[in-house]
Amino acid sequence: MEGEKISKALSAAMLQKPEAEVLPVIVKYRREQLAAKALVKGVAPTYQYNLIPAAAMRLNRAQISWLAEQASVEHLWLDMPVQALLDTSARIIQAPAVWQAGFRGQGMRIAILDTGIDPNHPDVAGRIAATATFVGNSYRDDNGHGTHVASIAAGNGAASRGLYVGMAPEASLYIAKVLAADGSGMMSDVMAGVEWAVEQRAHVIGLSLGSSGPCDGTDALSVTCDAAVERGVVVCVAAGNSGPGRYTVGSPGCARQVITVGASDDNDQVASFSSRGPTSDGRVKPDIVFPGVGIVAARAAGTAMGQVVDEHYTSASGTSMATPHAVGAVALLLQANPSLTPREVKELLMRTARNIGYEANAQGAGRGDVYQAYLGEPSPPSPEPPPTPEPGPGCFTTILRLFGKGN
Amino acid sequence: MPKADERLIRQLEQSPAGEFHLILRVSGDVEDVAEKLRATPIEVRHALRLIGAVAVRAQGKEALRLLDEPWLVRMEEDRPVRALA
Repeated sequence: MEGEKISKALSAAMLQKPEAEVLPVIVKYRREQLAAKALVKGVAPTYQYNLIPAAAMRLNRAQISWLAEQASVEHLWLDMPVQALLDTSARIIQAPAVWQAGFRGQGMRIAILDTGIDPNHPDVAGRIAATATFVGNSYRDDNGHGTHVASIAAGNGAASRGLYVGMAPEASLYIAKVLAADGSGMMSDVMAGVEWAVEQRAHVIGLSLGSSGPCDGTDALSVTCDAAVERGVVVCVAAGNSGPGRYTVGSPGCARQVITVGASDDNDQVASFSSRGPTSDGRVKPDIVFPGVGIVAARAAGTAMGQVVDEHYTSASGTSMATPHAVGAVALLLQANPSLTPREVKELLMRTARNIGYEANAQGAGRGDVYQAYLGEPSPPSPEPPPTPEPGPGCFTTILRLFGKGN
Repeated sequence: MPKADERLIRQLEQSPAGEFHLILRVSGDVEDVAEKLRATPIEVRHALRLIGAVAVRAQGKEALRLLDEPWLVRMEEDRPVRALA
């Protein structure tokens, strides 16, 4: 009887934890039970639910077992962290609507400069067009970060029967390993990777990495990223995870022509950790935010980065995770309209982003919406947006024309 | 504009035998400069054509000598970067 009341996940957690360790538990009790606080002497609920007769509590194994024996208790669940799955974040930015229009990234070359990739992961296997190694001897991912990032941009969800699909699931991947197993590297290795990606004629480069400290965009890495943009490549860069203080965007996030990406959650709140502008020379950054909290995506074999979900997937947070959402969005937009310049792509994403009510140095132009960008139509504002300047005359028309609409 | 920040120059002076990772922005042909540097004890890590730069590993005293080279436009530290998850 006791076993039937305790959920499988809670049972498993009880076996894994020491007897005295407390676990987060949701207790459902019978209606006639007057108050949850009476359930376990000396234990106050952390939350009392009204919709159903239940309470969240922190209990040790003995308390859980004792509760399961009580006639007044119906069920006990482990209170588990909630995660924004890729299917959730893709929906938030309306990628499926662009896929339905026929654009899934076919023919697009996405370069990911990171910790490498697991080439055998089903979500990316067979779509890695080229690799390069600038640290160590192999492009294989010995950290997990690079595989996670690449699959957010272009994973096809093969290991999840199509549940965790990346933003541009039919794009080709160009992988440069510029970060070592500990997730660190040198600016010059990243610069070499950017050069390689430009030589590979990548359409878009994703850099989910950065240095600490404020910058003004004149350092060598930032200048290299801007030079790649000048060559016609869109470069998306993570803003950094040093928020919420101001002046926390590092290099190359402070580069002038890149798309600097902050992180939001699936409730359209800017993540506390997401770095804020301005740059040290006073420019607004980030340029835009994309989902980057609790993102479930591909897990490289033999790695345990983030919060492991299962053999093939793991959950992680950071502007690292937000950036490949932007990368995939750019690939979709460029497939839909190959004549867009990097400057036009950036302007389009920013002008169609949804204002989620934060100051510009936290949200940039707002949270990106790839379908609105595809349509060339500004996103409807959040219910109570702060006052923001209207786009200048002619901009909206220009955007519509980019996609052959509006004459 | 000085070729290097005062702070970096001080570090090089204070640690002439210390090892420094540097990015040198150069004028002229990057490969020519890299070739010249390879003939010295300085290790060339990358020749970067996109912006005309060479990434090197050098002792402080060697780096200080580079400041007098006419082809050197700017010297800066090659700083660490990290994955942002």
